Amino acid sequence: MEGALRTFDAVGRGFGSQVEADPAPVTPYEVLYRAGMVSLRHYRPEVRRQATPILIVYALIKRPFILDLQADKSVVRSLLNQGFEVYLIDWLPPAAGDTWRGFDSYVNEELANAVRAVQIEEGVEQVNLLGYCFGALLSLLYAALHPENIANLLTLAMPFDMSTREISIYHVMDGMSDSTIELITKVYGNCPAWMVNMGFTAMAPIHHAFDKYVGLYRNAERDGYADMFELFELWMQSDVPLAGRIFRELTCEIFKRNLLAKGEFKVGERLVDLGKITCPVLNVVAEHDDVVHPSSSLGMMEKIGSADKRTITFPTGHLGAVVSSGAIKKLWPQVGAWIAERDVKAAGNRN
Amino acid sequence: MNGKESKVIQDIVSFFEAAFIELPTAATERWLAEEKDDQALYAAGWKAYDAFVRIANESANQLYANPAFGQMAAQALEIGLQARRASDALVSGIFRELLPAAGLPAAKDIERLNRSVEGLREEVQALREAQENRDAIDDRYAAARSAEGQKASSQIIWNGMKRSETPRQQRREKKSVAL
Repeated sequence: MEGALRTFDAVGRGFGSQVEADPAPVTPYEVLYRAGMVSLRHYRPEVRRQATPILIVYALIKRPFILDLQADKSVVRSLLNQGFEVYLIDWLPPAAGDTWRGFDSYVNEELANAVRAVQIEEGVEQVNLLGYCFGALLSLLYAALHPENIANLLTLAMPFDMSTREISIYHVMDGMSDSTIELITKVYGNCPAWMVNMGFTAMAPIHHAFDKYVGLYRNAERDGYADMFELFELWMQSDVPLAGRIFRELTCEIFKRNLLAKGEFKVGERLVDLGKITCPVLNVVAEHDDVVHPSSSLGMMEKIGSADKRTITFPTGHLGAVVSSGAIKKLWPQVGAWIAERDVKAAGNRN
Repeated sequence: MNGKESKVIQDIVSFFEAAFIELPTAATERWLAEEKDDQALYAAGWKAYDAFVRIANESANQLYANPAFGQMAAQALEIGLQARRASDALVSGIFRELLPAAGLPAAKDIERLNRSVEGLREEVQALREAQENRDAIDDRYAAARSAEGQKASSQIIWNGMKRSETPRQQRREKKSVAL
């Protein structure tokens, strides 16, 4: 009876973790470190050819298996094939007691611990940080606050300048007052998983209501389409709650007031000064991104202090950048080559 | 007229063209033809469908872009949240009174019971460990006694008490009496 009540309460409050529902991993890994909100995965390449490991910082709001979806559609595998040691932060879903966690906790404690774990394991002073979507935002903040630990920073589909209104659902967010956002966390503690899912669904209501199923029918003959569709659906439903405080900071300070782009955003007590990022930076933008519009990501490059910075605009969507055959064949080898080139340079400078 | 508007008009025209001209034409041709070929019919059908989806998507975008819709959505969410909050308070108030009346424990009682059980579990564990420690001492004592070759008298002193056997045996006897 008590168990049933607790489960009912947990579901109602959106604490239901989807971790157990992940499909079997395509690429084998071992968990190097697990504490706080971080489960740090280590993927080993068959042949190591690069000196500096890559730490992938995934978003907080969905499960990371999209980065290793199928053997031929895996960002992780692409990087391994290029000889990188790959680490991936699998964020653990926040529980009822984690509502206090904001950017300060996620960046200065959790992400910092993960970076430290990689430094110790690899015996290196710096790591390559690769962030995807919300993970890119966390990576950017970390790089600005702890620049000494980053060899190269790579951001993929990163929300930065939130003054852009190219994505129509952003207009709806404008209608929400701070008190409504506050009320969500007062009622639920954390932003519930179903609410995160609702946001994603609302971005493309026609697609999610029926068009994707029509697409499945139309492509039923295509080899592997149904399997891919099933995995995609699993991922679409793999929402994770967002800790109360970080949800408030994200929506009120970064989204509504655009403080990060204005250079006024603080993590803990420290002002985020992007000018302090002096390592090489690669910003990958998906040209047809309908979750984070390209114009939102592009503004970041003017603010960072790096002399060596480059933007790759790839003709794909938000997810296509990590799962499409085109991205796996053309984009990720470019990304790997960009890092490797700088890795060699850095090694040359050290010698 | 901006590019977006002309695109919408293009989609509407495309939809009407496909749905009301191409589709009926293809259907008629198929009906009249001796060899039935579905290709043209399917192509016209899908063309109409694709144009319809584009129009529906654009309509949704227009709706989102309307500030009134954003405010309405925010208000609806706020009302829902307030209602949830009120119902939570109400349900918790009702159950606080109702459960004891029905002879059922409230969540707080279950929690208190859980804590109490947890406390007892720790106490039992501590007692078990203490018992094991004492047993180990007794065993060492018995071993030492045996090594001395039973030199001492059968009446020995243990913690100021005269005992005829090892303390462990003595304690077991006492326990069985107490139980």
